[in-house]
Amino acid sequence: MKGQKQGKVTLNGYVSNATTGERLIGATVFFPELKAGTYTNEYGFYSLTVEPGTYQLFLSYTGFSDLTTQIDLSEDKLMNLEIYPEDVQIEEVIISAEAENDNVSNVEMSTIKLNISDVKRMPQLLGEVDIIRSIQLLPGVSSVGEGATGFNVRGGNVDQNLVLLDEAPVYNSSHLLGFFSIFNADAVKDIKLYKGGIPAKYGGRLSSVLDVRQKEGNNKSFSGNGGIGLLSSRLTLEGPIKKDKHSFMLAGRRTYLDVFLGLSPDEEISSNTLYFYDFNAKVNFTLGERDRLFLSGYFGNDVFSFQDDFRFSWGNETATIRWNHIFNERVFSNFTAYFSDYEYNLGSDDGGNGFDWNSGIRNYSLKADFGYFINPQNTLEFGASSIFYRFRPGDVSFSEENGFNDFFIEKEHAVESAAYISNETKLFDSKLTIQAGLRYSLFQNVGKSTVFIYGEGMPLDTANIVDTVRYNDGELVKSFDGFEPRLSLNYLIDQKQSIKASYNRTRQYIHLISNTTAATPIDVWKPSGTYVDPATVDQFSLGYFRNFQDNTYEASLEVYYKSFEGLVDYINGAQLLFNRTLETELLAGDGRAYGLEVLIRKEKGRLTGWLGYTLSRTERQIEEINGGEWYSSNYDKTHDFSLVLTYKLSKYWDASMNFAYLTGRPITYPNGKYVTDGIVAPVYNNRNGARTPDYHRLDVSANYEFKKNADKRFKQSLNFGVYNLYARRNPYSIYFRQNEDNPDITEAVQLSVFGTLIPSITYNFEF
Amino acid sequence: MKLRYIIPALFLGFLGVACEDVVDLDLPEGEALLVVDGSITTKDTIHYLTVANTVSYDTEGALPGITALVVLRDDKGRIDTLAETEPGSGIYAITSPGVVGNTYTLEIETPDGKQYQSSPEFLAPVTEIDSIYLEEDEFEEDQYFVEFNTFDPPGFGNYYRWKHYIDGEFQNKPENLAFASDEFVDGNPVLGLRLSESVELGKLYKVEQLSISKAYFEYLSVLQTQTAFVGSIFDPPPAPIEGNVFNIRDENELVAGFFSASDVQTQSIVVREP
Repeated sequence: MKGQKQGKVTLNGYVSNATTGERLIGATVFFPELKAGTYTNEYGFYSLTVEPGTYQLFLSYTGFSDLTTQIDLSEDKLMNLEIYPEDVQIEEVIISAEAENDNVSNVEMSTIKLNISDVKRMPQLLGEVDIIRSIQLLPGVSSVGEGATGFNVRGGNVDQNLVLLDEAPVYNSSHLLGFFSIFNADAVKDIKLYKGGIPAKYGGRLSSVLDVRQKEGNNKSFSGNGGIGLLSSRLTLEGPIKKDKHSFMLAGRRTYLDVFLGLSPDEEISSNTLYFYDFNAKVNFTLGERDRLFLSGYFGNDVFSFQDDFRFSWGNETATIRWNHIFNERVFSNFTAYFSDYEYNLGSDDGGNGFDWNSGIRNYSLKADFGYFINPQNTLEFGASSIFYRFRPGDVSFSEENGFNDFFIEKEHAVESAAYISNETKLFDSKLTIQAGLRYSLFQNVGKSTVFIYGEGMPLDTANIVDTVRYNDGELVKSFDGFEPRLSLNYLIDQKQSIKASYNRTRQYIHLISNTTAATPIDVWKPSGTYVDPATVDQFSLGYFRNFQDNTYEASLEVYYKSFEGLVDYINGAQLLFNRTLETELLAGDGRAYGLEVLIRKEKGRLTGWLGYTLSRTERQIEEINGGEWYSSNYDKTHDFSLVLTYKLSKYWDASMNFAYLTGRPITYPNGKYVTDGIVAPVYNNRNGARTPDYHRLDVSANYEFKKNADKRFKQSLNFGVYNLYARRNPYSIYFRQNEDNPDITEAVQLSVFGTLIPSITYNFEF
Repeated sequence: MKLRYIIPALFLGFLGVACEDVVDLDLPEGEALLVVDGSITTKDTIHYLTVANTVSYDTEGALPGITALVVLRDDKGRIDTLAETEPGSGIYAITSPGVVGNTYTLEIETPDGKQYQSSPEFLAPVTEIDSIYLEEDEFEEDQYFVEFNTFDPPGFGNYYRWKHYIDGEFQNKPENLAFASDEFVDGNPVLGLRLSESVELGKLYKVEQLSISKAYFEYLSVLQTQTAFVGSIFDPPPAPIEGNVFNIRDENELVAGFFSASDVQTQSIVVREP
């Protein structure tokens, strides 16, 4: 008995999937006799400190068979636990009658966890399993429209989501504009979205955290899976490097639209290129009982070229090194170093029109996170991080024949540092849980750079530049800092119901400069600095959580209110690309968003799925826009209803559907017209005063599992799907133009991204 | 920025599923705004200026003209009161051409007694079009692109607009708008400029190169964004197009249109086989 206080003992270790060795995140470890329990952290680690004794230990995780086992705890004990997925029949596992009620008891609210296997069953566009498109079917998450890059969470702009892939931020999560996401579902182990009550360990973005973790790789045996679809093919391989210790995972995906283009007899088509690919890799090493090392990386690209005239590519790269170290039974630590980069390139090799344009954002970061499992009533988390950014707004070089001067916008640099501490306390016999945290962040815009000085009291206009200040390498240009309090409460009324509340302040120091309806791959990020302030938001949420029929149904009702400050907006007709004085195009303003979200989920039985409903409003107020009146933001959708169901028909067949109904998005209609130099010009002075017609869509799919062959390891399935089954032409936008034949007549044109239904078939295999 | 067209078109085009439908909408009828639109150039011709009201977006036909007191001043002391070509037409004639180096200001008093004024427009000189020539269209038989060469004098701050006429007809659809600043080309020759798709044999193609003010350049940028760069998923937000005429007592009143002053250089070519 060493080192424990008041004669207490600590049980700690990892929880993993017994068939693959994959560590499980958020598994419940519970001593029913003591009513004391905990969850495994992002690395599958748990630690529980209790009085010495002999106890029943209960372990549960969604999609896995529960495990109950007797433990004799007379001294500190390291115990790695393994559980089996539900579909694996193992005799010695006792299926516990005690049901889990995570949803109710966990202090976290406003979070979404999706099982990859559930996502894979949902109907998907062109059969391409898409995590981001799938989370948009949950309350509080939406997008401007089909094909739009990114997603909007509770009235937040697309740049307000911290999208993490193995702890490294991803700056553009979309392929093919916004039709597909960069996450290859086969390579992903766990996804979790925080819409509110954001824990103190996360920061840097206002509205959400999407934490995506890649698979570690099967450390028991070599295995793989893959598929062939209409759009792409994919293959994932994983296996032990050394059994039960070291493992690897490699995954690749590539589309082949360009192969079909190449077959076209029409040279104007066959000489075009269009594809994207992703590559994920991860290796991990167990360096003894207390240390694990993970190396992981991602790179992906979209490549397009239009004969020789034009080429365009963009992509993300991330690389992460992580080291888990257990200092002692109760202190877990993780050290991370990562690199992340988003770049795009546009160009042409067409002689006189030749050019080459590069732009991007890159960062390097170091971070340390600690978890101190003091006792079942208290868990302390603390850590610090620092990110170095390099912003490259764009440089263009022109071909010699062209005669244009090469042009570049000066790079910008910044360092974002943060430290946080957070404690989760259980009080009153675990009836009340309080997670209180504080984060401090510091952002330093540093040289080398050039800053224009505008005349005092004069508007920011190039005509008013009175001076230019040069900053040397590393010299401080401007710094910002602030505290970000975080608080979450859970009051358990009884085992079936609870009331939760949360408050968080988040600060965001970098902004995506984008003035279009949907963000584009060529938008650039801009750090806060001399003329651009950081943005902040305060969010309050309150929720009621209740489970029904022995946790067959999980229901929640949440309301939220968000108040934004320092949102970036743009002057009318802003020129955002290749602008050395970007500050002259920017405006700042406030925002507010509030809403109500209802989610009813069924995770058990033949029929699974959810029903979601959101009633919300999102508005902005910018002095220079709309006469300073509040106006609806582009992604304000009053009603958002979704129904996602999967029904297991038989051992071999299951059928699924998604249905979504959303209020049309705000749009500006002209309230007049005039003629200027022969061109008919609309008068727009009521920003987002109208709405597109409502959006609704039904998708269906069926999944067929082949009978297993003799060796039992090889599984095959076929997935059939139809996206937009009743071929509704959902409006993306409505725009206004002069009639082609008679310019005196003006007309309104509705643009639909999908004008018809889209069938798909995908073959999947697993071994 | 052809890019705005290309990117969405290609993805949607390849997927082959996007579609557009002309729809009937109930459009709001906003308050009528004053429109003041016209220009003075160095071309030896009569220039016309419109003073009218805006109409609701789905109205067809000419704008309702306003009979007003319209005065054109230059910085050399010349004051012209402009005559309305026909009573009630709202079209006013500027009878003398502009002079390089002058600064022009427009003053208007409407029948309801409101007084308006344009920001001063400086008439800057423009360089010549050095040469105009034909380039064969590789994909279309008997079609030729018209290209021309010009140059930019050293020193930033020159703004250009180009107009083209085919068989004497001014091509003035939104997608024909062509204008540029010298930001990328300062002090250099500018070669191989092309304003339109290829044209058939036998056509007379005329190019005008105009000097424009920075304010007019910015106005045209917004106008282009709001009329030509629409119809994709990347549309910029619709916004009022602010001109350079304002109510002298209420600068917040939105006045549509622009009064511009330009020097003009012209070159023409007949499209024929080389």
